[in-house]
Amino acid sequence: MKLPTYEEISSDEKQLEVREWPPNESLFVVGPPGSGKTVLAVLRAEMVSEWAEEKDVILVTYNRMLRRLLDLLDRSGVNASTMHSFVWNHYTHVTKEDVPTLQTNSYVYNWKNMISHLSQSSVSSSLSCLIVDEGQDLPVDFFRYTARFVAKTLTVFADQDQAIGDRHTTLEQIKGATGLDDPIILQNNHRNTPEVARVAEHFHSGLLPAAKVSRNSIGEVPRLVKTRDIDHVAVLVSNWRQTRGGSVGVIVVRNETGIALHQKLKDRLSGTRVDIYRNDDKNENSINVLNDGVTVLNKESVKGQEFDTVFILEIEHLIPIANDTDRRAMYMMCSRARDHLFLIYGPTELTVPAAEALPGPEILERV
Amino acid sequence: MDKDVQTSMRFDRVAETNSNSEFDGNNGPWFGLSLHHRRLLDSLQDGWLRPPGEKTGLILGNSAFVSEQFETGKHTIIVQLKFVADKLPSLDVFVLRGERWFPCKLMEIESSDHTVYWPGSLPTFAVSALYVKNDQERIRLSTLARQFSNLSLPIDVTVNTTESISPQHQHEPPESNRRIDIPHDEDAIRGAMSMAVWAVPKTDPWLELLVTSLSFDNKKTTKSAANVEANWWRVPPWSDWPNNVKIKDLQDGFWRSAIEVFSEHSGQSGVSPYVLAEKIKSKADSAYCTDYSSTDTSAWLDNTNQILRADSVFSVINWQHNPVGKAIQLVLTRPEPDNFKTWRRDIHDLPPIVWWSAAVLCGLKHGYKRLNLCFRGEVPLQEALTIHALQSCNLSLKNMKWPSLTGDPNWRRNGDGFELLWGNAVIAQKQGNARSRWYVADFKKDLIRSSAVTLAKELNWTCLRQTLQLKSGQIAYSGTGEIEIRDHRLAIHGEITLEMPSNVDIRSELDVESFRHLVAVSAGQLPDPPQVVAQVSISKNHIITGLNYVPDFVSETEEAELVAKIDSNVWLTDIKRRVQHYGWRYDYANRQVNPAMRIDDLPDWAIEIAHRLVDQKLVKQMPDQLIVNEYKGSQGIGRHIDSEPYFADNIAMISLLESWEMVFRQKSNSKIKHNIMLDNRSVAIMSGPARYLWTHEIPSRKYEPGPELLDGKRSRKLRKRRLSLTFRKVLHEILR
Repeated sequence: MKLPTYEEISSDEKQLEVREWPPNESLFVVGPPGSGKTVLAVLRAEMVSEWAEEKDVILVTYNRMLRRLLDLLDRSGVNASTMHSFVWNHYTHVTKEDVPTLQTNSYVYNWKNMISHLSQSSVSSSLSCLIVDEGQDLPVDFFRYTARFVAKTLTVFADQDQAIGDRHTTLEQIKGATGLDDPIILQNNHRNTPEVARVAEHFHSGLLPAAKVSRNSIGEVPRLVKTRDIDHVAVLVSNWRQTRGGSVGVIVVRNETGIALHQKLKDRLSGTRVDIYRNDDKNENSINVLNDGVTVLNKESVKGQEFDTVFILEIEHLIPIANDTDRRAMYMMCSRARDHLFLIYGPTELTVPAAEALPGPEILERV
Repeated sequence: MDKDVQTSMRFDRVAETNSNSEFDGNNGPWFGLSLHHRRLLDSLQDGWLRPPGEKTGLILGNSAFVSEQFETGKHTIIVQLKFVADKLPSLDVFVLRGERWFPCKLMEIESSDHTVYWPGSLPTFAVSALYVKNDQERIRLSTLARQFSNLSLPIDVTVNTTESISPQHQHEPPESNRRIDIPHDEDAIRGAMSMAVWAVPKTDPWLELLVTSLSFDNKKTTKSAANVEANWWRVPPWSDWPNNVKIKDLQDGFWRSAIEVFSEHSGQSGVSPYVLAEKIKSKADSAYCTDYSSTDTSAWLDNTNQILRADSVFSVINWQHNPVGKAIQLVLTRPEPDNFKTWRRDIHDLPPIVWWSAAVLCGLKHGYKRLNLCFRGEVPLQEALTIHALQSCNLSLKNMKWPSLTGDPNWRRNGDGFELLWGNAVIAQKQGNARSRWYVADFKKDLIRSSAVTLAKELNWTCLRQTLQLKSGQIAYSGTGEIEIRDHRLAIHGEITLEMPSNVDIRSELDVESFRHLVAVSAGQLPDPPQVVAQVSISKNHIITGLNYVPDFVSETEEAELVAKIDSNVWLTDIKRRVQHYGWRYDYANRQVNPAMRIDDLPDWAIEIAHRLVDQKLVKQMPDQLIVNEYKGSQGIGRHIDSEPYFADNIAMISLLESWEMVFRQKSNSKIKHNIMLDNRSVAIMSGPARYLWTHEIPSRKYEPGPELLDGKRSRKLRKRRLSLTFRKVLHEILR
């Protein structure tokens, strides 16, 4: 896990507060994307695990984020699990029975039955601490279940911006179900440089203002590049990777583009990791995107990832922006870039409305 | 940092820490201070506790803790720091007597003086104890300190309930003549020095250049810079450019302007690499352009901009024309040290001078405060550079004596690697590589010479002389020229043709000095010289005599093959952990081997390793017995000495898959113990006292100290699986 310097964090009072929080007390934290919640969840788990005599600390997250979490957990002794398998293990362990599911959908747990069953058999919390990441994506009944039957203390991290996606659970519901105090609200964006954040914010929607950028400028502005063909893109990406190093994410709209580009990049970059990552391929668990190298992915797979450099290809298919969902997608893709961002189109010119949908040249340099 | 460098240092350090803790005295005078934990973390970033706010010094308790004034929040941890006097320089301090401050020598403070004023900043390496009030705070502070890349606690946190006292006086004494002030440029200089040690190429001339440049000896530095064809290094980045040193060429011009531009922007972000490149170019042109043409600098700037825009890629081809220009490009494209270090992985044939000059400029630009611990080296090195960098830029402190830094920097070879010394104290260790082995290879040996010739041919090195061996006989010649023999030379005037016999022997003879020079300075990847044993012994200050250790004895590929082979064989499950026996079976219950227990010869893969152990002189006799032990999770093995009647001296233990510690205890006094990290793919050999006078054991526990960080305390790793291969020689005379 890449740790920050103390200097980077010391001006962010809320982050420090979370990091300093006593291990034996419950904690509720909300924050926008890029505020470092997942890393904080991992660090919290390490501290609590050090404190807990039984070393029985478990980190639970939403399904798709497990892989990233496991990569971050690399060197600590904390266990991580998806919500589904954690609850399944816990319930079958204490009741010696299968988990009841809904008659209409056998993939959805019947929380009501589970809770009433456990209340009758007087099961009490045995785990020292449960830490939940991406809490907004987990069902509210999971929190009721956890608070009553699973853990003595609870730490929950959740996304603050209620406007994104179809959430299972609101912050108020989490509070209500667990009895946690008011959350600490993280406000700073620790992921993007101010230059990258300015482009992302151009596409920002949602109820709350975009997070305050806490990183320092690196003096390089994102660029809009017109390309001749896919070979030209491959040259640009491979030259960039060879020169600047680090992790590079290439986001494509069409899977064919991704497959063709993946091959060309592999040919050009021997000795470098070049992977393709598709949500329909189920290969996400085999790719460690935190490692240096190039990852080609489509816009559906990019959520939760971050790269030093991001190339967004085929932006002519993404702008002009038709609706709020597209706007959010653009925001989400741009904000995956830590340091450098390229928006790429071509060979045909952008239409006037498409060009007008982009930020100005002082924010997005035209090449 | 190089994994191999780290492992050997860690091996030494662990043993040292343990031996110290046995005799943890700290009975000398000390000064105490209690402060907010955030202020502690802040100071640990660069190792200087500066005076708070507008103050000019620190008010300390003499053998007591004086509290700083600060606001406490709900989760503030109040930390008590104990500074030991014998780590501090002889600086005049002030003591409070009644209502007044009196100047006083540090060593003359009396026990009745309760309050001491320290002029300026205190180094955190002088901290000998860190106290908090309860266990929860201890865990919070120690885990909190592990959450940042650029700091570590100088010592473990302990719980202590001594109260702190409030200072009787808030006013400060009159201005003192000498104060420890940390100048602004200290950070850039310490960053450059740290990266210089971290990245130093591993052949003798580079170590020499490193230590001469650190010791500010202009004459020697000029000489050692010339030895590696890096004349610009005669003025290192941490020296001011002397007036009498002229800018001689483009390299000097680039070097000096890069140092100025990177120092000016050190620790800053927000200046784009394009702007930095432009500044370096124009500075090189305007200030230092004497003999070289500005077309060279313009061409460099164009090329740099193309690389930055990814229109072309960085290339080391023709690096000889502009090594400093190439070095600057490496820094501009990957300015963060964490990213910079990946250049060495991405470009295998980086010439040492380009790599090293670039690493040092990178450290200068980045500064020390934000520098990841992995570039800072071990504690003794950090201490030395803390003092040295300060003295380099605060000239009023130049002659101040520090107990932990006496003498001058120096280096020596130690086994396969190098040691960096300050005075007599070893402050850093570097493991050797193929180049360092070639540099000291024995060229009298035919095999070495012939391999060197092959290598030189492959790499097109100009260090070969063609020789013609002629035996008695006559050689006809024709042509219009003339031949004359004079002073052991055949002088030819005009053109002639010699008619050689068909069996003439033309040989390529190695010019050893040129070859060694090229080993040190040229680009390209070198294989190891043949039959060079990469043997690293524990240096003699360690107490376990006879314990030898070789990291990376088994390569990664070999490790994977060995594990696969072992796993395809049958495991015995008669004891708690799974084992496999080869050669002879060992009877655990009766602790013996008997002739009926002979299984077979060792399998080929084990014989290969056994041969290597003998060839590399790690064991005296060819091993004929092997036990593979599998340790999973918290499995361990109790304290024991391997059967003395049945097994010979020299027992070799190869560790695979994970790095776990082995604990050695003195047989006669089990309280004297040392934790020795056995890295995966290493071999440890117990001979003599280590074999017979020390017990060894693998503790039963869940975690091992992690391999990634330097201080050992920071990271820990959940144990999963370790395989141990123990090679022994059965004593046949006993069996008869």
